[in-house]
Amino acid sequence: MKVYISATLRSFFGRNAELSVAASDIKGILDKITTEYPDSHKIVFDENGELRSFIKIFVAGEDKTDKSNWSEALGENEEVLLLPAIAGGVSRESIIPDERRKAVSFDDAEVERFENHLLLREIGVKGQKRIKAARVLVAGAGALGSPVIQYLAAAGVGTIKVVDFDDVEISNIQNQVIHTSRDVKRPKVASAKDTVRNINRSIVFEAENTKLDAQNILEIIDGYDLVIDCTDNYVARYIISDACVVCGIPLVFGAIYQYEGRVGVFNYNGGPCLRCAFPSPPPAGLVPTCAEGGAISPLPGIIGSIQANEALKLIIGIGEILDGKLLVIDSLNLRSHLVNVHKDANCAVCASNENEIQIEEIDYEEFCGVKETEDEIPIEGFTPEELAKRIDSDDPVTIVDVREPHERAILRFPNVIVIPIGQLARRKNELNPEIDTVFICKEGKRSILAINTLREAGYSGPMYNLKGGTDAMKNIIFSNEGGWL
Amino acid sequence: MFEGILIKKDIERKLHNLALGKYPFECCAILLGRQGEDRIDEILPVNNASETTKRKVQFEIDPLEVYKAEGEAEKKGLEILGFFHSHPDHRASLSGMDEEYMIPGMIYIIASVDSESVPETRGYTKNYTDGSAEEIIIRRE
Repeated sequence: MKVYISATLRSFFGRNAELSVAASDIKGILDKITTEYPDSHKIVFDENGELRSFIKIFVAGEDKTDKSNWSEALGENEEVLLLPAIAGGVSRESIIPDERRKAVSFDDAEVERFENHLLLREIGVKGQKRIKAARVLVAGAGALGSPVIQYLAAAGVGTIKVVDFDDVEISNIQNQVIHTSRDVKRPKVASAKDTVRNINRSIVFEAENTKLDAQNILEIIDGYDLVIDCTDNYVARYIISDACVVCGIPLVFGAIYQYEGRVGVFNYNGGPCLRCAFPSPPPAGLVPTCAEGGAISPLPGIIGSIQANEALKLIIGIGEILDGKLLVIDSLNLRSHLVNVHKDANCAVCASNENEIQIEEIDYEEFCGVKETEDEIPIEGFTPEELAKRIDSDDPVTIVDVREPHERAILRFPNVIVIPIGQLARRKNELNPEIDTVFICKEGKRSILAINTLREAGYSGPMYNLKGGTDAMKNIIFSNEGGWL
Repeated sequence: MFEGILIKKDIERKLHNLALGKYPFECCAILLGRQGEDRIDEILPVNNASETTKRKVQFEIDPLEVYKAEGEAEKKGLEILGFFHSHPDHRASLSGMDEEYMIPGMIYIIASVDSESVPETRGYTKNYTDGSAEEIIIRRE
């Protein structure tokens, strides 16, 4: 009997296009040819002795690959074709291995609780078991962390670890919906833990009241399937992304500012990392954080919900993932668009040999420009009390307010010159270099940028920063004005 | 020593146009070249034989089409070096299904495609010895 070997499989059969085999059925043919060419055996059959997916057997134009046809007697003149099955598809696999899914079981109460997931064909029991088996780390229990943590808990994620070092403040309640007014002054992780317990007591909630840094990050994220970045600053974002690359953990990134939000998935399936998208942060102070720039209340709900949705899709292994993409949402004008993020072949972190990156040795504060370096001229500053004293004593002093108009509307600072940062260099002549000049903003960070900008522009007069910004001035009462703030 | 697969610009353009033309469905093609030259000389677009409902996320080539194609290629002195397919709206990374169906020694090129562009093209091959898949360098000329 003649057996035709496809060119794609010939290298396993001595490069022969045709073999003459003395056999009466397909089983006999496969036995004979794999015995004659022993190397081909492990190519044709898998470890369990099953024919590999990529091999097809045709007789007289008909597909006879299925084992049930292997014992059919073949005519002497029939030609048997050994052909390749060429197939494939996009990647939609769960980040939770099958063994861990299989180790999970449900009781009746859980079946009832997760009915709405079990009804979905793409999730079902298998998907829900993956969700229960998942271990997810959420960095930040603030605006974005609020919806993320609550939806993960509601969806039944088995283990949730939350890292945050802050206490709840009254100004957080506007958009950090996991906390309530009763939680003010409590650690955010403690408040988040209570909310999760009220959702589902069987969830393992690991609270870590710590600030993430280059020294502790690897230990914190080790052993988790997924990290969700809900932080609000560049130092934390780069530390988290770099650590995810080192540990091979996918990262769901989210960020909000005023009315705009961004969400994306990094470090998934060999894809780009945060540094591929943003090789370096913007100059310190240029982009205010959410706490400084503000954000409309439901925006973190929108972005955080998408982060939680991406996390669940990664866990279940379904749908399209924001992998190599950044979804940008403008909630003010209701526009959204997808931006492609390419993997940077020269990326300092994800393109190099993973073992070479030593996160502990990277100075993230310096990288993000939030560290005062020795060769920089230190910036002198006034505490709120010192500035109040200067104003009270009528010492000549110029105060420059670099805040945006809407910020000034919330809290007016009298007798100031208003100059936005972008206009400082060109309007430097409005300042008198003979008189001390104090720069103020909301938190005392953009004012440092203002001073550095003027220094670069060649302004030589004495400049001071209001430490802690107008936020810190709130409690100062001037002798003549009994609390004009 | 194998130093990656060479793809000429016009061949890569043909692959990209095929991927864009079939978007949002997966496209597939047979890659032809000369034995031992590690260069793709011709591409042969083939039908995606997957079920209609799966064509956005899967592809399949009819084995008999491969049979026909290799016969015609031989007449021109060419042989099948590997296969090309697209990943609409997904990255050009190897999926579990892609890997399962890879024949050791063959070259597999995957292109990520969206409605407007082909942001990523990557190549893979499966090892003869341990059956593991690895990425190969695509050299462009």
